[in-house]
Amino acid sequence: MLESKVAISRELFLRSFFGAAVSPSSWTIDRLTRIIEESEVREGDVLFREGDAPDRIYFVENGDLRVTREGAPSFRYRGRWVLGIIDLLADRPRRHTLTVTKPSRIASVRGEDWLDIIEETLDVAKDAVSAQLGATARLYAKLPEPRFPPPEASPPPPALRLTLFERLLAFFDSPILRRAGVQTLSILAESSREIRLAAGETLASGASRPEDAYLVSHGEIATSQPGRFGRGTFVGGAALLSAGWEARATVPSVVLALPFEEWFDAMEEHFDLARSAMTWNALERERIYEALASAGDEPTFE
Amino acid sequence: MATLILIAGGILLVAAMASVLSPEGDAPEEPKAKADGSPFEREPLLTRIAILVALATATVLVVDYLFKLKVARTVPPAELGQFFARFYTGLNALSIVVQLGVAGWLVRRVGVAAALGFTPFLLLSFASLTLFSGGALLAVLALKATDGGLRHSIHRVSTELLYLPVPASMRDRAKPFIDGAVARSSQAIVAGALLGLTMIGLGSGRTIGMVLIGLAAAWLAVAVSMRKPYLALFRRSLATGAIDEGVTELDLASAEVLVERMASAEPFDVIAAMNVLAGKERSRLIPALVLHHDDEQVLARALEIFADSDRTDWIPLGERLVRHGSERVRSAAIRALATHGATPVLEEVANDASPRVRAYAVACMAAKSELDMTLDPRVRALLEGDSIESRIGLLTAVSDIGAPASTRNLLRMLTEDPRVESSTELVSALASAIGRSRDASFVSWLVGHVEKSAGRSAIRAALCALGEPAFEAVVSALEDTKNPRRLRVHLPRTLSRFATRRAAEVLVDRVTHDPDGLVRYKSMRGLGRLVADHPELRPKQRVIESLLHRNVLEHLRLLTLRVHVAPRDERDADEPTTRLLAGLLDDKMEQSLERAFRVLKIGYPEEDLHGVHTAALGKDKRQRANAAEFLDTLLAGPDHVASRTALRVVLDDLPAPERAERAARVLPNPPPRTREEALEALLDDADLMVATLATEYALRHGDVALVAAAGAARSQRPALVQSACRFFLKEQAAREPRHA
Repeated sequence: MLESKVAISRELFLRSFFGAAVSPSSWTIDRLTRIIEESEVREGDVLFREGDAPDRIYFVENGDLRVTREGAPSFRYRGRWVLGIIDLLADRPRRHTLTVTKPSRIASVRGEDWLDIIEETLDVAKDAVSAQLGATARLYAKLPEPRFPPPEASPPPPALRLTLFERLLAFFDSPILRRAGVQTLSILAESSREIRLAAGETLASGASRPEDAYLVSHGEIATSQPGRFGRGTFVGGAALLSAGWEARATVPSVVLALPFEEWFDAMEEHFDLARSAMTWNALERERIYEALASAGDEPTFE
Repeated sequence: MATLILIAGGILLVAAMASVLSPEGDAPEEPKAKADGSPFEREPLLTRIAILVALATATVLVVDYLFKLKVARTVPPAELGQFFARFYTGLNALSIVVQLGVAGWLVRRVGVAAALGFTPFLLLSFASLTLFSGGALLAVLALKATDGGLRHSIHRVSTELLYLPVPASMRDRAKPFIDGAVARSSQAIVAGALLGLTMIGLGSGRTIGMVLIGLAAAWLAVAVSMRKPYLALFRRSLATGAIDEGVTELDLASAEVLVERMASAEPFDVIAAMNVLAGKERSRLIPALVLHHDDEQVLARALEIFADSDRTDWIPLGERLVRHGSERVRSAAIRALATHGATPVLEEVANDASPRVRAYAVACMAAKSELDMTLDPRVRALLEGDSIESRIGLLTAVSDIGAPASTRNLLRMLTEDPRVESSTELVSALASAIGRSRDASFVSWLVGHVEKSAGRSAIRAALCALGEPAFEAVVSALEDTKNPRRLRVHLPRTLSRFATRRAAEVLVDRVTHDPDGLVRYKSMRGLGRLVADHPELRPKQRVIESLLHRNVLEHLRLLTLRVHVAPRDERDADEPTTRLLAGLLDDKMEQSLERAFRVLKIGYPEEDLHGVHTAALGKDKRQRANAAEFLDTLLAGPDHVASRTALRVVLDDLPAPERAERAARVLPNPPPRTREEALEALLDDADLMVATLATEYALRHGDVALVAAAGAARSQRPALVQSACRFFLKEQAAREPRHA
């Protein structure tokens, strides 16, 4: 067992990252306190470099770090951050170099161990996904227009209702679900229902938080956010859970409505689904940071 | 004879000393060895292996001596040559047969730890027979045959496997020492001892027989005791470890760290420190002065903790906070004060700007009378309004005051109030209040709400609070297969919260017999959670074996289908139906294996099997081998023979087609031999999605006749009919002439 003072010190450090709203289980805290490695970092230290393997994630307390990438504008992280997760989830080499610009205390854990812990606490994963999507959605407002990449050309709707196989294919084509297994996608496909819309017809009024996530199977949906969404995308992007946006079809379209209940229930049992949503969200956030960095003079995210 | 023994003993002693003193082999690593310490110090299993080897060597030497002694006394000298030639020919033939046909099978069947005891057990038995038969030649021959037949096969295989979990660096240093110095020293000592016995006139067959029994018994005892350290080393090599329930206790040094954090300007630091103290049941150490903090999150959390404690020193400071600018703080303050009976402030907050705070105060004041709360005009006014916040305030208060009988009508009205469904917090508040009421008449409302995610956790807690009637209602709802799947899939976890033997039994029954695969899976998850929290409720080993075997066989069944769905070429690999069908089968194989590991976790809650599962599926061959051996040893014994054999097929390092071949030997039904047979089986699969994808796959790969032949089965399954019809419509459209 760890020395009591060290264990308590680590527990305090970790708990401060969860804030007041989330109370991690004692199992999670116990596991993390055993496996984290702590260190003090100085100005100029590099946590990781572009091209490195994404083997660790970092908890940075009261930090100030510059994020750089060759040929791309830089930006900064300041305050309390958990870093290095995007590359780990996306299973790709580090996209950026992360350099310390102010001495601070950090802790790190092996990426595999971190994923193991998340997998073992799947009952809270849906809350985490929900909170992360909400946080990303709030960043959309800062983006210059167009806020979303233009949709790819989408085929016109078939005359007949979609078969189960065709519904599964639509889920299979979705970037948010790219890392989910076929078994998991088939659960979502079976839980979804088809909505057919004529050009100009309203999908969501934005009055209240939607009860379903809307996956575009055929056609195109435009939102008041503003954004346009085509085949394989969820209407609203990371804001799919938020209220306040209207959506209507720009051309004849078929949308698959997936109740959030079903999606989150499936997430409780299927780690690939939670991981897939977390990965997409992390990449979406990275897209936003990079877009804001391109638009401004080394923005700082706190 | 005595001279020969003396010479042999001398030679062995010299050989042993040479092994110990030899500078070869280990010499280059000497500096490292000093730095790292002896492998025997670092790994206790190696010491046991050394003792095992020493005892085995000593025993077989005595067996050999006894055999030769008996033969020399029984067989005429002129026939000795022929006798030994015949006997050793037979012995070597036996050894080859055991080596090729029995050793591997036995080790696979009973595991390394049990196989280790096989040779000493037989030797002990025949040594006893020899002693009690007065040294009958047949008994001595059986003894020697056992030694000759098993020593180089079963004994050697199982002893070599003992080294498997030992890290390579330690094994490379320890093994030559054990096989050389330890074995030779043991031979030298035993030879010297035999010489001594002979010289003092105790070299009779009877005395040697008794020595042999002692040595064989000691060997058997050491072999039997190997299982625990062997498993322990596997745990370490798989980086898992048995689950350590150690909880960090607070000492002075750690208390200083906490006090320091409590004074931090960062609210999250203070909240973290308070949560640590509360989590360790040391909330007394949180100073009441924390209620002077500026941050509302800190104040709200501190008040929540104080509300749950029996302290009163914070009350004067808490009373000040009922006038705080933040609704959240005021709400927390009034709750904390009310739960400690500090009611004078209620009148003050009855006109609070916050509907939630006002309603809380109103409910507390109304509860002072024992009359039906709904008759109180202030409560009635709140219920006639639309405010969700007011309802939450009312219910929170009802919960805090223990939901006395006077609140029953209020609770009943709210269960029929459609506004409740619009707020998760309100559902949770209502469920908590019902739980406090202990009124079983609300059971059906609670059970009906388990299917909705809103407030599910509070609903489950309330059901547990209602006890036996709620338990029976949950069991009935789960067992009634006519109930909607959406409801049934959430009942196993609900049941597991009751944490009783009966709950475990019902869950085992559902895992075994429920017709719905998802309900079975959820029941397994529920059972897993229950056993993780209450290991004493784990099911019997025969139940574990049955569930484990079923899931491992399902994995192998799917494998025998999957090998026939391999893409034909690169183009086929990109074809959506190939990708989806192959992907689905891969997922289902992974899932069945995951279920098997979940079952293991239920059977062995003290083991951290997650690491073993990860190692078993990983790319590291050595770790995979370690995982396989660990499971083999864990499941040693007659209860798990079938599962162990099937798991071996899953975990052995084999190419998929060869694994499928081996799977055919353990599966109850003959697996498909051709692609067409595999497709036929997939088209009729019980899983609708498998059958749907198989239909699409078959149609797109030209197996139209197969699909047509499976038509009778498909007519019961509209999704498949729809797939097939769509395909034929497209085909027909493609064939029809196009008109400009």
